[in-house]
Amino acid sequence: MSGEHLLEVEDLRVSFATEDGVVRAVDGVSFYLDAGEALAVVGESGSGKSAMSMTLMGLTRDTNATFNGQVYFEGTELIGASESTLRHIRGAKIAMIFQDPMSALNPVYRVGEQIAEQIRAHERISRRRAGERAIELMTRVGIPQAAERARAYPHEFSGGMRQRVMIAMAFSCSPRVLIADEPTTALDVTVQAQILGEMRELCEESGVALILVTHDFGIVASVAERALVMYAGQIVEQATVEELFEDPQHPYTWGLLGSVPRLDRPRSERLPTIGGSTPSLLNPVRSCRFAPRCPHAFGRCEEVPPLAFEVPGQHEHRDRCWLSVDDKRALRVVDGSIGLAAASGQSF
Amino acid sequence: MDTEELSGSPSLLEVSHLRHYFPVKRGVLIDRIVAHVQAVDDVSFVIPERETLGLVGESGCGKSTLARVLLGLLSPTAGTVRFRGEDVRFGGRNAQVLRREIQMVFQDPQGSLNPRKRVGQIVATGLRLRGVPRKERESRVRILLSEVGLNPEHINRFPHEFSGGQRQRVGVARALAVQPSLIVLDEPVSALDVSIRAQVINLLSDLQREFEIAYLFVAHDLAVVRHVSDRIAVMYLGKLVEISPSEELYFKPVHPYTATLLAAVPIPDVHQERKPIAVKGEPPSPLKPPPGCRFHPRCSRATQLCREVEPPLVAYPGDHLAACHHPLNVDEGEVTRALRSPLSPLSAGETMPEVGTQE
Repeated sequence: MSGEHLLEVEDLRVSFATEDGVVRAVDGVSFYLDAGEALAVVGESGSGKSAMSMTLMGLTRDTNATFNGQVYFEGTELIGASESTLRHIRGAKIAMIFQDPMSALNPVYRVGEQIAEQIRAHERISRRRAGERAIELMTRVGIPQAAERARAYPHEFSGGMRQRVMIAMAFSCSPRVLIADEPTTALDVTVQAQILGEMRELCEESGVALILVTHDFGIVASVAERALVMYAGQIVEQATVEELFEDPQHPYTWGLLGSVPRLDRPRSERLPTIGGSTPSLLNPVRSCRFAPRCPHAFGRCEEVPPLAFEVPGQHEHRDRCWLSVDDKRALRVVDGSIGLAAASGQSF
Repeated sequence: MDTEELSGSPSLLEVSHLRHYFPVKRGVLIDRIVAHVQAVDDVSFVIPERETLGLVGESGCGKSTLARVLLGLLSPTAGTVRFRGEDVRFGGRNAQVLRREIQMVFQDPQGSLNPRKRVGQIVATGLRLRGVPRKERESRVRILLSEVGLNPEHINRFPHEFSGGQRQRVGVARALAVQPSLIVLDEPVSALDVSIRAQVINLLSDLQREFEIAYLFVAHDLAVVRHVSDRIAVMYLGKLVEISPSEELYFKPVHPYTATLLAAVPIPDVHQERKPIAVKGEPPSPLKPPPGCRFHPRCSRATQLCREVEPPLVAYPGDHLAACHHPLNVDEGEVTRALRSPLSPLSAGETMPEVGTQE
């Protein structure tokens, strides 16, 4: 362990025992987070990105879950920490925002009370003072007429306003880390732009480190400085955002980048796709997890590559693929832009 | 109908001055209608044969209600829908005919397939209604399944045995079974993962070419809509604010709301400048829509005129229609040549946009 980084995750493994077998949701994930930076975690459903962020919060406490590995937050180990230790950290030092604010808020309490309750859970402060702080926070996240709105119930808020309440709640105890799990997926684009802008501003102002879980590369580019790409419970590529967009190394990343229609480019006839479908985490393949869908797979892919291949001159940039850097740079160009070449004989 | 002159070629579907209001009821024992949600308020457009019309807008703008009215799942409060030139009477006998011609694919592939039926039965229902003899049905279902990229061997599987993307393919096969000429796709890919989304989008465009179907593609993802559509209609609070050929809309949006929507889409490019937040606030309630132009409370270009007079849809060169008093991206010549479109809402004012009223 070291005290260098704010948050350090080492070989984290989370699995769930189910009737059908063991689901390996997070399968050996290691990364770090520094104070004040914004890290994006990109992946599709079943990539383990949500299971990972819930574990960081100490929220995966199901009886069928097994954890391995270490998570250090400011030097404290979180995996296996006592519930009382976690209670001091969770919500106060590491806060979280979820995709669906309606189910994260209690429908029968006024939103002001809910924010105040959160403050009082972590600080010795009078009920009245906590109420005032709640209103200040609501004003700060852009809720108009906060004093009045604090007395309203969650159902009286629009989706965007509810997410603002969640942000106010997350920032109420001056956290060091904010984990936002698809915070704007349920929102309209104009509201999404507002919320992302405000979140970024608040984090920058108070030096909060952000872990943003998303599937949208547009959001990654506009918010984050570094990114992790996850596939089937593993990190397949990690890089600064610039490196990820300019020089993506893993075939899965190419596929993701290529398969999204883009507003800033001329319209193409056909979208490059990733063949096949997202894998089951129940008894995952022993080979490279992406090999069954990868058109560039070869003999060596029988063995899982380590997340170790460093791109020369890019110290942050690592990926999990046996291909050489030169091969990758040649193979990823499809019709003049980055994408995954079509595989022959794909069936669904 | 004057809409025909506009489109040139005979249109598959003509919607004129369509309204759908949802009553808001209050009261114990006796319900009183206290207000109306103006979900779709005087919307007119045409869909030519074999074309894709994209319909975009934020949640609550009425795009799904509009789709449901076209399918006869809701009856319109006012206005007419003509299919191949014939008036569609909702709820009457020819609603049956209409259902055969217009099919729908829903957003949630899980919720829209009967979990207790095998996919073979689900797809065959359409064939039965079309009068395909029992003996032929199975082989036709197999052909349909392979058309949509599914393994025909899976004919006896249940919906839960498929992944999300595959279920959406079943939904498409079911729609194709009745050989429709128009398929309404309501957010068909937004529930799917990014890598699967592209597969389904490609499938839809292949099928369109092969079966010569027109699509009404309802979605909120502007990049996806641009990819699939020939023309795009933008809705805001129950009104159509802009309708134009797809590329034109992206390069020169005329209505400030369209420009706002486009600017709000995050672009996956690190060198793209981080734009300031384009628009403040959220759409107001369709219960009490603002007078005049419905976008004026959020619009940076709004003037007294916008607060009072509802702008008509104005036809600019290039088949580009927009309802704005202070249009963007049009020059003096284009404004002087512009005409009031017959697709304008009946309540719209006569005021034509002026040149240089702003900026």
